[in-house]
Amino acid sequence: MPLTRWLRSSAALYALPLMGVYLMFPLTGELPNLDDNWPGATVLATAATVMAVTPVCAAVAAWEGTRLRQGGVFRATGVRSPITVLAWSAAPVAGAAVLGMVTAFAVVTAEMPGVPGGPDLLILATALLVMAAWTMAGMAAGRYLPPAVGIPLLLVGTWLWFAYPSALEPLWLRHLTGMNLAACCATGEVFDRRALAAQSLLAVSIAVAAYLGWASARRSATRTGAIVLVPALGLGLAAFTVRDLGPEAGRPRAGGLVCTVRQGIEVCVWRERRSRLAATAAIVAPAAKRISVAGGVAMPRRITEGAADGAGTWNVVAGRDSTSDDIVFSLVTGLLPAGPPRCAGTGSPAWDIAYVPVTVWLAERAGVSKNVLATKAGPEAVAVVKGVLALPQAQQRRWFRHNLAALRRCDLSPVGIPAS
Amino acid sequence: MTLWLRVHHVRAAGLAALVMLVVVGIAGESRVPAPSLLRTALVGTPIALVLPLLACAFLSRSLTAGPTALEAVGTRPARSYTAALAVAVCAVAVLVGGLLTWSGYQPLGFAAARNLTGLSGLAMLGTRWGGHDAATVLPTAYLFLTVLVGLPEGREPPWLWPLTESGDVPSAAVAGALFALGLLVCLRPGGHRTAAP
Repeated sequence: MPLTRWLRSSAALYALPLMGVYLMFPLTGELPNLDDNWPGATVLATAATVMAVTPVCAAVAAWEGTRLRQGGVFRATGVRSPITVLAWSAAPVAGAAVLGMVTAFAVVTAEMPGVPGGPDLLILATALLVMAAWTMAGMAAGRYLPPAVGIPLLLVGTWLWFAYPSALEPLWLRHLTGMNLAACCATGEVFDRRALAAQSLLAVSIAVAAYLGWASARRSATRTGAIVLVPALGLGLAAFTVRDLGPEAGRPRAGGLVCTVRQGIEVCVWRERRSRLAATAAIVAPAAKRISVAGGVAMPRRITEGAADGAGTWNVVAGRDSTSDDIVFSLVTGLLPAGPPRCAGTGSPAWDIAYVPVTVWLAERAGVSKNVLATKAGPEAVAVVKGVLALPQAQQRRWFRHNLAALRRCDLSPVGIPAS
Repeated sequence: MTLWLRVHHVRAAGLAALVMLVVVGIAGESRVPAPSLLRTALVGTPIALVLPLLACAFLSRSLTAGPTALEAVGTRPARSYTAALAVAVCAVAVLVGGLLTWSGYQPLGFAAARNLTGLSGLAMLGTRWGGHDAATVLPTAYLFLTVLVGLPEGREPPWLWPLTESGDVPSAAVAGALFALGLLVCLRPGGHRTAAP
């Protein structure tokens, strides 16, 4: 068959505009949240494509499967192998999926100027595998179901499969689907490979079962058993692989820091932010000294975007759009406890009262401007801190140290802060 | 009649509608996130408003199954049977969905039944112009278009009838009108065109 006629006869060609329009919404909606790293960009591009394109691919494949059935392909004597017939029929669908993926990457790449590295190939390969598996499932469904049932079933079914688990518990359920939107990755994170392994396992098992169902309609216990057991086994193994994951699939990044020494302090940022290293060091080193003097805490040996213990190593975030005030503010919040203590029965009242004023006081002493503080913390907290700043230096330090301790403990009430 | 019921897969259509009503009753208000034209964030669409498409698919298959050419020239009023089947399934769905909503057990029960009715009307219209195989293309495309657009804050234009609450009268009227149009088309001679893809 001439290539143009082959393409013209495929439903994928006519579904392409729908895929393109649908793809742009999740993609452009999430672009403002994109961090300056390639794993995050890869997750966004692949997740948007999986979510928008795969249901359409599956529905179109169901249509193509029906065409093969109605064309008498399965009844006739085979000249070509089933896999060849399948490949020619599914190729335009696969082409549309790849085109969607390329478009998504073109959009996110435009947001990554100067960011070193490239797409995460494992995440990309997993997404392609997921798309191929559901396309195969569509082809198999088309062999048995009438298109009036097969098309909406595949379209709605795959859409529910990709979108619905994020609203369900257990939370690891969402890591089985392959739709990883918002699951990962800030620049300080890497994608947990367990989630990718689970998604690949399940996708392969679906593809195998779908191929078995598509390639032969002979009724045998072995074949039926395999069609049921292979995906069940894949699902079980995949669930076992991700059983310890929470709502997100990101885990802290172990390497990839670049460092410099400023005023005796080693300052490190992620390698994607190498160009901002000197400027960040020039901001955080004097700010650390000011914090140390004001709060009476020991000077850090290291300030880093990586792992920090809050004693000898402090944490900072020098994001893509961070101003100098944002960077100092992140240094301050990195020094404070990350969350309230677990206090049995009583909750953690000190946290609600003291966290914001303590942050504002420390940030003000570190050099963050009052306008920025008012924007970040609200005018009430700034007014509370204004009274504290009027006290002598030693009294301010006592206020800070007491309230910092209150943030960490259940048996200590904050001082010098109105209850509401 | 038994043969007609079997050829038209009536049991599957009834079962699909029953499963839809049960799932809607249990978890109809659970929301599935989807991209929206009008909002930047993903908008959650209650599954009670989407599941009727699957019940509609099985009903469409029932309505379009069987030897159309033979039924067209047969002595029995096969077109009336088909129309009666559509009316019966949708009427039972409206009754049960209405009860779910009226009893306060599932506020979206009637909306689900309304969507089944309206989408089935669209499917019957689609069958007329696209053939049996493309019967559900029109309701599928229409439902996904409305989900993509999303319901604007504070407004419920009638053309977004698949997304509104159970109590929205214009939506129920539009769905009912579509179903009536579909029935008219279904009852007309030559109302079902068969077309191989």
